Amino acid sequence: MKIVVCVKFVPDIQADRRLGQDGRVVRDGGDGTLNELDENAVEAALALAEAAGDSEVVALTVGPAGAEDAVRRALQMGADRGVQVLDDALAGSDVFGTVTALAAAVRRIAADGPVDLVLTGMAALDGLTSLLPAALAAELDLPQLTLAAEVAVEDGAVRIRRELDGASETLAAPLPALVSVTDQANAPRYPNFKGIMAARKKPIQVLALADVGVDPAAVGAAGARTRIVGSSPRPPREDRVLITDDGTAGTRLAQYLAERKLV
Amino acid sequence: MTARCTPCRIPSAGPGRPAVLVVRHAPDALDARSGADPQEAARLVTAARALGEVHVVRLTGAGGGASDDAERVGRYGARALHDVRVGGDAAHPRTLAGAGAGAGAAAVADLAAALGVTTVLLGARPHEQELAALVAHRLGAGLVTGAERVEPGPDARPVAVRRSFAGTWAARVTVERPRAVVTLRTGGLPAVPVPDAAPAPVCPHVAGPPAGDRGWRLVERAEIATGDRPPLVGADVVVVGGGGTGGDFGPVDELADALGGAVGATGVAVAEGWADAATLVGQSGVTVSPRLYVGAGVSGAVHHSNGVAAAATVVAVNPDPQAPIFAHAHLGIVGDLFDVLPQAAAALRRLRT
Ligand SMILES: Cc1cc2nc3c(=O)[nH]c(=O)nc-3n(C[C@H](O)[C@H](O)[C@H](O)COP(=O)(O)OP(=O)(O)OC[C@H]3O[C@@H](n4cnc5c(N)ncnc54)[C@H](O)[C@@H]3O)c2cc1C
Ligand SMILES: Cc1cc2nc3c(=O)[nH]c(=O)nc-3n(C[C@H](O)[C@H](O)[C@H](O)COP(=O)(O)OP(=O)(O)OC[C@H]3O[C@@H](n4cnc5c(N)ncnc54)[C@H](O)[C@@H]3O)c2cc1C
Repeated sequence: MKIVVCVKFVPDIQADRRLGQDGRVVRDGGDGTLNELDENAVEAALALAEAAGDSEVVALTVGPAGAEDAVRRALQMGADRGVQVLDDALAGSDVFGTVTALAAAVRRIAADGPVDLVLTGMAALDGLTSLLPAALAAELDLPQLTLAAEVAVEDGAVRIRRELDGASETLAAPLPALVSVTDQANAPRYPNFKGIMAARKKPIQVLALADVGVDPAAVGAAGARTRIVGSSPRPPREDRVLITDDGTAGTRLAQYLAERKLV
Repeated sequence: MTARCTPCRIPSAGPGRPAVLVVRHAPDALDARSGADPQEAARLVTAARALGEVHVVRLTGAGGGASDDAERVGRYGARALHDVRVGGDAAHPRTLAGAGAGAGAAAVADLAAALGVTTVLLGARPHEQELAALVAHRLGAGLVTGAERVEPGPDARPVAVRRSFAGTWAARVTVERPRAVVTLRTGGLPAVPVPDAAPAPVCPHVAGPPAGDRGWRLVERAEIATGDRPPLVGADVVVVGGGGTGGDFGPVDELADALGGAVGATGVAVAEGWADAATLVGQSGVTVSPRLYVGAGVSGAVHHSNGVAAAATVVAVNPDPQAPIFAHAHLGIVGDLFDVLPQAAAALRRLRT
């Protein structure tokens, strides 16, 4: 089985995150990491590959110089090889620009043998849109099974369970398919010394847009369908009320809610 | 020439006003019993009115779906209610699973194109976010998700305002394509009826055969029991208990019941086994946009705050005045939840009677 797992390099969530004048995320902190929720996708890929035997796990990222750290982490966990789409023209991509580049890379990876499964995390901790998996599935024309809390492959079909909107759903689709996994799906393994050493020898293929046949005008700021025209840090709430309990705070809370018609 | 709806011939818009499509694809959470915000459709239609003439599309599988009725959406100014039955009998009545998200998206995109709309507006639940991505993909539209408001832009297209980084930044986003797809967090938005409005005419549509889902099917579906309390998703009031409960959710449950709200939990409370994983609120759990959020014994870590940034009113109870949650709170109470919550619940019950 050939599995492509999409991993994103994101600014560390604990670092001071901000938007620049152009409305883009300022990525100068240097302390980026593999999006934590993508570790669950990598873990799912590795577990499925181990269960199937004779499999290959390819970690794929679209991102700037430095983003190979996210791929490297996936390799340390046990992925077999990495692919990074790196091109200056990608800067400022919206979700569809990112999807265009990822889909082209998946097709390229499939050129030497079909891809059975594309796995993603449930959300990137910076953009936090959770849009990418559905859009990528549409672009690749694959069935989408999103927000999996459990995932299994059997007899050429993938089956997931998810909890959504107050119900537990089991969904299935024939391979090839795209699955996004939540952090309920598994506990990601921590790379051990052996894994870290082995990862040094694993290849990371760097591809430019031209290598995957994508027109630079279709991605990046040039191709973006949305534009941020202004951004500002939100001042702390002006209408904020802070009280210290003097023994009546509960009653005051009830009054506060009643005054605002929230009861 | 004004575009018209093919089956019913309703003109999509008047002179100088673009048409706007509000999509209702809201599963269980919209049932009257669920405690979901019954005003969500009204809030969406009110927001859409500022952008143009409003058409509501209601997506349903066999015999179910969002419960918006023509009278209700009409009262808020919708020009028509388009009732789209997706995927025939195969589709799950509420989630459309079985017909698939792709079939629903195709139906919405076709209608949007036929009516010549400039903006498609949806709520921001997980099903709706996915639908939004698929509709935008089909229409080649720009996509903005989780916006807290939309405003008319300099042309017929909208400007969306969205927050990021746990609500600490606000960005104004425009769309560089003829059409925009926007998902809105409605918790903080008003619902304003239009005087003397008539019920919206209902126009039935039948979507083509399910396409694009390639064998995606629903194997099984079971409702998760939440007892007498409303489910978290779509709840109007959410009371969250965190590490500060020390495992005793009694006061949290009591306040939630006094408010008729849902109970949620933080990562710590779930990890400790004090609360069910399905009640996790935040980044990797449920994103909520209630009118009222109360966090008790919650520190306000980014992973958690990300999921509550859209709450209209935030109340926090915590003995540590430095707790990060106070930065988001409208009302912050420096105190012990075991004192404050039961007292508030008792006062609320008195108000009720
Ligand atoms: C604050 C902010 C707001 C934004 N708002 C919008 C918006 O409203 N509309 C819009 O079109 N774009 C928006 N973007 C841009 C968008 O986030 C990026 O294009 C991004 O690459 C794709 O979406 P995501 O990060 O939100 O991914 P999500 O959909 O949240 O991520 C889900 C999964 O997709 C995979 N994935 C995501 N990105 C990559 C990647 N680069 N390489 C490999 N795998 C990946 C990962 O497995 C991840 O777990 C926004 C970005 C930011 C920082
Ligand atoms: C990838 C990832 C994803 C995550 N996703 C989520 C998520 O979706 N949702 C989530 O919630 N967390 C998530 N977390 C965990 C998150 O980082 C925090 O650890 C968690 O939110 C903290 O929970 P807490 O506020 O209950 O606990 P703590 O941080 O331990 O805070 C407890 C608070 O209770 C207060 N307190 C103590 N006694 C009392 C009392 N008597 N009355 C009132 N207050 C009291 C304390 O002052 C303290 O502020 C995630 C973490 C990771 C790494």
